[in-house]
Amino acid sequence: MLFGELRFLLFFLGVLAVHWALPRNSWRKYWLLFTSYVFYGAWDWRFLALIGGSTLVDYFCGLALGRADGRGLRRLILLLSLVVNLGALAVFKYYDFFAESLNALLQRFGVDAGMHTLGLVLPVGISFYTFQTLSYTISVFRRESEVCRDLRDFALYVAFFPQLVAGPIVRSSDFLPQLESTRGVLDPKYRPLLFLFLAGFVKKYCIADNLAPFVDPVFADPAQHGAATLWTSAAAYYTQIYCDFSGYSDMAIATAGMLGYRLPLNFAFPMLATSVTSAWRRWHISLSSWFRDYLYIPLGGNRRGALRTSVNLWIVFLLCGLWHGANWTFIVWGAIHGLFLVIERTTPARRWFEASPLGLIPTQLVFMLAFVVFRASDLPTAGAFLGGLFGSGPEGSLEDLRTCLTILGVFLVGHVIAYRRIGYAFVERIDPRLQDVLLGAAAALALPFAANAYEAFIYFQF
Amino acid sequence: MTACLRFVAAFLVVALAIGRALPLPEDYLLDARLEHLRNDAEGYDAVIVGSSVMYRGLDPGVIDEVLAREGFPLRTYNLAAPGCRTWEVDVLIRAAVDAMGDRLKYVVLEPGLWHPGREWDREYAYRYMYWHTPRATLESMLVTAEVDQSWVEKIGTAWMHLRLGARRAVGYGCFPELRRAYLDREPIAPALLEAARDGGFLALDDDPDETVTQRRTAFVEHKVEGYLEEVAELRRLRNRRAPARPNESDVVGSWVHRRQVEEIEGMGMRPVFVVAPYSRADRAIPPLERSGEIDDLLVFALPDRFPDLYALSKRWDENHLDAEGARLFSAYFAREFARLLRDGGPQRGAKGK
Repeated sequence: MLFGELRFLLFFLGVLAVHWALPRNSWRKYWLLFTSYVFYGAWDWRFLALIGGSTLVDYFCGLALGRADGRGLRRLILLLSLVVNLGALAVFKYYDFFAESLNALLQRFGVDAGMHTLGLVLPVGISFYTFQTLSYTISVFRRESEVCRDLRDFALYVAFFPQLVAGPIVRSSDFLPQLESTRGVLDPKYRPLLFLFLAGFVKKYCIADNLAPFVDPVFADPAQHGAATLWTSAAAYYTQIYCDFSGYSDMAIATAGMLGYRLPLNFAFPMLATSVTSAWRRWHISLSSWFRDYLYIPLGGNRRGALRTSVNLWIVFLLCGLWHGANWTFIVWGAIHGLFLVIERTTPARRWFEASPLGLIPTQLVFMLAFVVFRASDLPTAGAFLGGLFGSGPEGSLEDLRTCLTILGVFLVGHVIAYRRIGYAFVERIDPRLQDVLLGAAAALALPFAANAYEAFIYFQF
Repeated sequence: MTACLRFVAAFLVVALAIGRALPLPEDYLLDARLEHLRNDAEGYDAVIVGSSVMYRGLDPGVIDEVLAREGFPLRTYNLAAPGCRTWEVDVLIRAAVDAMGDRLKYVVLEPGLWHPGREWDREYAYRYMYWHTPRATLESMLVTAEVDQSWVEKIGTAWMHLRLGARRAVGYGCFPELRRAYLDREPIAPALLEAARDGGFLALDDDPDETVTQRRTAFVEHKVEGYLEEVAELRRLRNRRAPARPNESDVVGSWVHRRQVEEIEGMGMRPVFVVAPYSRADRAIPPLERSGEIDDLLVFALPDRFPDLYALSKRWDENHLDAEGARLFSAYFAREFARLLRDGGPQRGAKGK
C-alpha cells in the first residue's frame, strides 16, 4: 500500500476518522496498532510474524534490562537482542550475498565452498524497524531511556504505520512519551500537515517517478549512452532518490501528524549543502544520527586521535552502505562517502568548502557520482557509467533529454523556493479560508503531473 | 469541518475540470477520426466499431461501393481500434453520435467481447483509463457483480474499475495527454490523416508502425502451423455444430449484450453484429449466438463458407487480414449487410451453416 494510491487514501481516511472518534487514548492506541498490522500485512502477511517476533524479543529484553543490575547480565540481555535482531537481518538480507561472495572468492583459489543461497524474499522495512527496536534496547541498556512496560505501546512504537516501512527511524525516547499524552481532534495543525503531505506527493509522484523512465534504461546499459545522457541521468537519479525518499518522509511525518504524533525530520535540504560532512547532517538524518549515536561514538568517535577517527568514520560508512543493501555497490558507495569525510576532516577542504557557496559544486558532485555507484546493478556497470561520463557514446533521444532536464529545472526552482521560504509569509497572511481553497486546488493540480504508473518507494527495498 | 469542506470543494472543482478537459486518446488516430466525423458536412449512415479485426478488416471504400451496387447508397465509417473493449465501444458510439447527429442509422460491432477481469496487460494505458467515465465505471462494476467469479475476484475487479474511474475523474497522471492536446499539437503524418479522412480504415500493409511488421514476421516464421491447426479446429467445430470452446465471454451472460442493444436502439440506431474471420473466432462467439439473443448477426468465421478469408495468401497474421484480404472481407460484409437491409426487420443473419 503506497501513500499515493487510492486504497491508501481510503485506508487512511478510515483510520483517521475512527482514531479521532474513539473517546479513550488507550482505545486509539489499540486501533492504531491493529491498523498498522493491517498496513504491514497488506505487503505480505507472512512477515507479520517477523515483526511480531522482533517486537516481543525487544519488549522482554527491555523488561529484563529494567530488572537486571549486574553488568554481565545486562550485557548478556543486550547481546540476545542484538543477535536476534541482527540475526534476522543477516538471514533475510545478507546471507545470500555473503554466500555468493564467499563462493566466488574461494573459486578463485580453486576451492568449491558449495554454500547454498536461501533465495528468501526481503521483508519490507526490516532494516528500519530492526534499527528502531535496537535503538530502544541499547538506550535502555545505557539507562538513557525508560523501560516500556506496556506491550501495546511498545508494539505500536515498532509498527506505527506511517514510518514502518521506510522511516524515519524513530527513537523510543521521542515516541513512547507521546503515547502517554491524550490529544484532541483539533490539536494537529492540519493545514501545514496537508501541505507537507502534498509536497511529499509532488516530490515522489510528480518528480521522482517521472524521472524513473529516463533513468532506468540508462543505468541498465550505460555503455550504450553518450556523456550528455549519462551526466543528465546521474543528476536525474540523484534527484529521483532524494525526491523519492524525502517525499516518503514528508508524507510519513504528515500522516503521523494528523494522527497526533510527531516524527523527526529526515531531510533538511541536503542538495544545498556545501560540504560532505554537512550534507550528511541533512541527508537521512534519522539513520546518520543512529549510526553516530550507536556506532561512531561507542567506537570512540573523534576522541582518540586523527587516525582512529578516520578509521571510525570508514567503519561507520561501510556499514551504512551495507545497511542499504547486500551488494558491493552499496559498500563502495559507503566507502566513497567515508573517504570524503576523512579528507574533509584531515585537510582544510571542509573549511574552504563551507566558507563559500561554491563548496556546493564539489559536494553535490560527490553525492551525485556516489549515487551512480549506489544505483548501478554491479560494480562493472558502475565503472562503465563513470567511464562513459567522459566518453563519446551515442546520445539518446533529444526529446527524452529535454523532458528530463525540464523536470530537473522545475525541481531545482521549487527546491530553492522552499529553501528560501519564498511566499511562505504571503500564504500565512492570507485568510485561512482562502488557504483551504488554495490547498484543495493545488492538490487537484498536482494529480495530472503524477507519473502514470505507481512505482514502489526506492527505500522500501532497504 | 467547514475547512475540510472548503478543501474538498476546491479539490473537486479543479479535479473535475481537469477530468473534463482530458482529450480523446490518440491511439490509432481515434481523436483525429472523431474530429473528422465532427467536421464532415455530409455525415455517415453506418459506423463500424470494435477491435483490431474490425479496424484492419473492414474498408468503408469497398463497403460503400458494394452497397451502392446492391441498391443501398450508404456512407460507412470505420471507428474501430485495436484492443477496443465493449465499454470503450460504448463511449465511441456516443462520441460518434454526438459528432454525426441524426444521419447515423447503423452501428456495426462485435458481440460480447467485454470481460471485466483484471488480466489486462495495459491497465494503466490512457485509453483504458479514458473510457472509465463515471457512467462506464458504474456499468462495469455492475457487470462485475453479474459474472461468474468468486467474491474476492469480484471485489478485486470492481476495485480496479473504481480506481481507473477515480483516475479518469481527476486526470491522475494525464499531463502528457493534456500537454499533447493543448501544447504540442504535432502534425499527423499525411498518409495517416488521409486514412482518417477516407473512411477511417488503415490496412496493415499501409501502417508505418514497426511493430505491425514485426507481428507479420513472427507469424510467418513461427505461427503458421498453429494457425492452420486452429482453422482446422474451427472448421471441425462448425461442421459438427459442436458447442464453442469455453470462452471468457461465457461468464458475462447476456446482460451486457442486452444493455448494449438497448442503448444503441435508444439512440435510434440499429446494431449489426459481426464475427470477423480469425482462427480462434469460435471463442469470441458467446452463448448469445446459440441462445438467439442476437438479431442481426453476420458471422464470417466460417472457413468452409469463406475459405479465401482464411487463405494464407490473404492473412497478415492469425487474427488479421492483409489489404487484399480486407478488400474481400469488406465485400462479403457489404453483400451480407445489403441482404440484411433488404430483408428489413431483425434477422438471424448469415449464421453458421
